[in-house]
Amino acid sequence: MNRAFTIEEHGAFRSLLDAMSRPGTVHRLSDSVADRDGALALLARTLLDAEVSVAGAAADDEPSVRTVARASGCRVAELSEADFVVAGRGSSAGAVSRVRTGTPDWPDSSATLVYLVDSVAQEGGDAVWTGPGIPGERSPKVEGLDPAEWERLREANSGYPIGIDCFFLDASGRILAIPRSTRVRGGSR
Amino acid sequence: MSYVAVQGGREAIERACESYEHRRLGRDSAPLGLDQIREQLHLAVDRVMGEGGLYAPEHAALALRQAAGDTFEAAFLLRAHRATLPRIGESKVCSTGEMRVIRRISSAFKDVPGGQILGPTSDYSLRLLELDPLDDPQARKAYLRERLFGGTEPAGGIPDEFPRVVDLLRAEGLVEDVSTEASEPFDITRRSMVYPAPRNARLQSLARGETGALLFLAYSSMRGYGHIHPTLAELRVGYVPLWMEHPKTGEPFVAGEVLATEAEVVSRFSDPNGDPKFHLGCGMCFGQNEIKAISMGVLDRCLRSASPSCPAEDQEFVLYHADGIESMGFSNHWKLPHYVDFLSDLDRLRKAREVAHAGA
Amino acid sequence: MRVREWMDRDTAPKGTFAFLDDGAKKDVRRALLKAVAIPGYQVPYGSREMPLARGWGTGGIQITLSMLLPDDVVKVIDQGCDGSVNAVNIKKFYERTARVKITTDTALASVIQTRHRIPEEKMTDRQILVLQVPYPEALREVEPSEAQTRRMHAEADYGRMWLHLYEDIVRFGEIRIAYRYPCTVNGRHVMDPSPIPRWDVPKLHMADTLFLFGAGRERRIYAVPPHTRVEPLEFDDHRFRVEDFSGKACARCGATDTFLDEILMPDGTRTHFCSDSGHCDKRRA
Repeated sequence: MNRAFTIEEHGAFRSLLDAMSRPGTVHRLSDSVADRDGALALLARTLLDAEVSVAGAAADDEPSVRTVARASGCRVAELSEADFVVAGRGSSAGAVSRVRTGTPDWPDSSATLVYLVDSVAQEGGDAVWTGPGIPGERSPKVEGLDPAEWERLREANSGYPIGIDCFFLDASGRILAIPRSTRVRGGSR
Repeated sequence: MSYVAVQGGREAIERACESYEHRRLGRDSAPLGLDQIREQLHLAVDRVMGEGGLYAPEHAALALRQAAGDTFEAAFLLRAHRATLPRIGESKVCSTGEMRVIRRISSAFKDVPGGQILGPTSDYSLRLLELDPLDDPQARKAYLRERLFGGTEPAGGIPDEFPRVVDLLRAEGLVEDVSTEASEPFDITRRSMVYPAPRNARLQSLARGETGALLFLAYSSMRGYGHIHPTLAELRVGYVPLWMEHPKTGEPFVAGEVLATEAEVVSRFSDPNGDPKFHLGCGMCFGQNEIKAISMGVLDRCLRSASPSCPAEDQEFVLYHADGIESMGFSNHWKLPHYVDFLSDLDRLRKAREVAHAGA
Repeated sequence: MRVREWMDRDTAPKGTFAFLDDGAKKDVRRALLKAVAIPGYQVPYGSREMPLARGWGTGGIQITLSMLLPDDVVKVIDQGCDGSVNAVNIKKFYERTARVKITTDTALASVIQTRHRIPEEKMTDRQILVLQVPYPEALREVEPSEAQTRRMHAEADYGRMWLHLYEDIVRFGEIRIAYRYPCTVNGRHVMDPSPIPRWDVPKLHMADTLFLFGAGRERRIYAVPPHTRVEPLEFDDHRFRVEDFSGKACARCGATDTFLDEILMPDGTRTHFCSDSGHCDKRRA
């Protein structure tokens, strides 16, 4: 039982690592998880523990925050302190400008955002992504994300290497990532 | 042929491990009991516990036996074992004022409240190798027991707690206040050190430091490459109770005792704000390891220098290089093959010689 | 209070899959994701003591153990060789704690851990290369203090490194850095590629493979994601050059396009063999 859990976390991490290394590609955390809540809990178990903290982007993200905290045993913190921030309903409601983005000496001391969205696809978006992990360019599509988020993220990541990295988690438990190193051109969504 | 065969390496490696074990087990001598190591080589056990960062006398004895007495290797075994153990809780901040003292001296005053308790030490012995074996070790043991514990207790008994000498100086306003950090301790076992390091992180790091490394650095400061001429306000060795909060009821309880050595050194005063005070340095480690505690106390003071002017005052120099597990591991790794790097080096040298000779 | 959290868990400290406890793995994983997001930047983490000594690949081991899967096929090399002491030890450890399959064939491996070499055979996007790192800081050569080098990275202030290379050229007509050749990653961070020979540096540039770097003793993790620019520091009139094996061939497989080890023969002559033993075996088969 325990061992199966551990191995599932190892597998989930490989997917997260693959997603972050190849921005805009779609991955599944586990073959046996096909829903958003299950995937969020698995992500939490894979990455978080009592040494880090989570916060919700908005007040109504409370249930997601509870899911994460319960699955991982991590602490719940203020938005400006949190290591992980969950943005339910496809929007941070402007919270992106208030989360930790790291310091010049320690750009890694930034928050990681997890957006809960409707669906993710590797193609079909109207913005063009370039940068590390992308051969040429990619135009992934994230449905159910507030179009204003792209501009907010661009703003937060304008001082590279300071910035934030994001995961998009969709209704069927699939995941897509955008690290701060990715440049996004054109498009509003 | 001298090519490193892909097959066969494994076999040779296993043989090397076996030879090591075979040699350690000895020829005709009786196997070494863990109780013998724990009781009769207790200072080695203490040293290994301190450097290994784990208070576990049985395990330290086991490590010493497995390492054939090599304290670096034994501390390493213990530290690696420690890394596999879950952290099930944290003790409350413990006070050495509660220490059950077995030895306590001050070199700052002829006599101190509570008295000088010399306790077990080799300090006052003649260092003559005892070439004649004891005729009857059991009789000697009985004699010592009678001498030490047979008499009556001193009038008034031995006090439960001893006032701290530094507190007496502090009451007079003679020592600087160093307890300025009230924040959460920086956990050096979970985080990579950040410089400048907070004092609590420096002390954690020194407490796990290799005894010889700390001595070397502290000695350099006392002897000439530094300014710290310490006076030992107090050195105490004894058992410190560790208090924890009961996970269910929240009630404090004593989870156990650890044997520890603590040294508080004061050094020459300075006068930064028109209020001259002694500087204070504090050292503490597992077990009885007085050299380490004193060295650590001196280094604690060194590392608080406002403008570092010698190696022992340079935080990165001291803390990056005092850990025995890290330094011995890295120094040993030079025994691994390096022929690829070396070939690359040869390529550069040959090229440079070509350039040099072409120009000549 | 931490005690309760721990008491409510049912983790077994003994015999965990892939040795490390959950907390250690999660720490490494978080650092890895940050490392990938900021290519070439050294992410600090709370490196644990491993049953192998510091300096013997503990950084690489912690990375591998944090992500290993039971169906992984693992290759471990040291100086290019699958049979070297350190590689053998590490393989034993993985077999014992994660029951993975071991291979010497680069093409069959899903995870390759290496010390001081990158395999000759081109790696694919389905593979991960984990490199063991003794000195994560490329600038240590010119600045001993960590606080200073960190500031230099923050400000992208690499003037002293360039000056160092320039002084070499002035004094020796050549840049003397043989291995651990400093590279600029993603046009921003100067990175130590670990003590791989210069021969292997171009393999990092715009590769299909993810490269993960672990420095256990120094408590740093960094990464080069696939399709990322990795450019050795060089001057327009003094280009970066790899080791010169012109006119030499492997005495075993005949290769003229691989990094060659130089072997001193008993009669004082020199002969050459492929450093990548798995590749050499495969060519001979």
